[in-house]
Amino acid sequence: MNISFELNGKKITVDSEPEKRLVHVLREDFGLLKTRAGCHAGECGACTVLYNDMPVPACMLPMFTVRGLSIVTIEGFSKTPEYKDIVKGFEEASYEPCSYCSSGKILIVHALLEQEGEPDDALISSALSGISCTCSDYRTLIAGVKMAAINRKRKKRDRKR
Amino acid sequence: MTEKDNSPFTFTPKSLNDLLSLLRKRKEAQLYAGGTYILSRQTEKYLNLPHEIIYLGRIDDLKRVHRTERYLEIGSCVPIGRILQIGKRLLPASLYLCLSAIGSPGLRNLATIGGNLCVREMRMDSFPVLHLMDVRLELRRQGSARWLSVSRFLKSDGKPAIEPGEVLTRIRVPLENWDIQIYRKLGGTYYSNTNSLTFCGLARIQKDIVSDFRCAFSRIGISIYRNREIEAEVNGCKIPLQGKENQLITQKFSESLQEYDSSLTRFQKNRMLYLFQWFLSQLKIE
Repeated sequence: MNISFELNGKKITVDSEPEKRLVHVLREDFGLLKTRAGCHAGECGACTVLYNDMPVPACMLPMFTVRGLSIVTIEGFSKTPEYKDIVKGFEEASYEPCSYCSSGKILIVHALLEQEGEPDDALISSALSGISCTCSDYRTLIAGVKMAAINRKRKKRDRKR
Repeated sequence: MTEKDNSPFTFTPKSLNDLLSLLRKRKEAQLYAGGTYILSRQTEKYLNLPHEIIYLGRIDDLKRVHRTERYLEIGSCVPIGRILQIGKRLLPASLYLCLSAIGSPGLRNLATIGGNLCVREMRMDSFPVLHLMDVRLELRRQGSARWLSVSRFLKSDGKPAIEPGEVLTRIRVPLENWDIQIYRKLGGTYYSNTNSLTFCGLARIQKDIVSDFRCAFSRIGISIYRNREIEAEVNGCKIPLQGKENQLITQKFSESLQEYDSSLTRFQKNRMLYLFQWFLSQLKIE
């Protein structure tokens, strides 16, 4: 079945079974390997993508559900200035996620900052509760998100000037 | 074209009218909203899906949220994550807690409140809350619509009382003031289900007297346990409840559990009892 959707800002059409999980199409048909296939239950966060700007697990999306919509993976998002805000924030807080969870965490943080400019600890913890990786200290992660929020706010202010 | 022999036929109506027309013709098709239940417990690359699927994700009519002073109307296909974005101040506290406890944040951006209500294995999350809040549901078919109280939504076998050709379209939540709103979820729908349990308690206090006391439990397979006689015992009591009064009500509740379900384990009964006692202890002057 030909399924057309927007992937990382480009309109594409892929020939795929409608019941195939999006995470496998991204990895096998497009070589986007940073979206990892983990639990297949939507609970580990390793396959998080932005689905019409909402972070969702790509393992829970059969291909027939993505027709006509926008999907952004970490590879596409890494080319945006918003990505740099977050990575810089993480660096400033000395937070280093592992390669398994960093994609999911960055996309979720981006969606959180778009919704809440200055999230508090509880909101950050809640938003990231769907990532089961425990590679590093949670407090440093929260500090990293707050630094990213400051970076983003500063950039918006500079743009207005 | 890449399709396997067992690939499903998928229909994607764009409007409610298209959907209702399709429901009349495709009686065996499976409705698919967020799909989180259908996909749960599957681990393969290619999903095992029903032969015919009607995908509800493109119908804007089912994804609207409308608020008035008296009620909040939520489309049946609104993702739970989006309902939560309405915020703690605007959503009833027990409903906010209930929805926050469903799945992970990513799953909540896919799962819908309609799906949570209609799927028996998922219903323990939201059903007790919606039941206690006297929520009403809109069911539509081609040419007609009806509103139904959520307390009448289930048949005796636990299946939703949705007639052929009908679909759940809206959920109307009354916005009433409750002095105490409690929600607790123990275990989950994905765990060994005999011990999972949800509890919801609502209470209104007027001049130190309990004017409206409601509580309900739910677990997988048993959509609701609510005892209105016990609720009536507590209504009219002065708070905080006195020792003897508290003891009597607790004892009656414990006895009612014995009669309610003989298959309840001692562990489950004790948990229900402790949650009930804890809710009674919350009835106090602030």
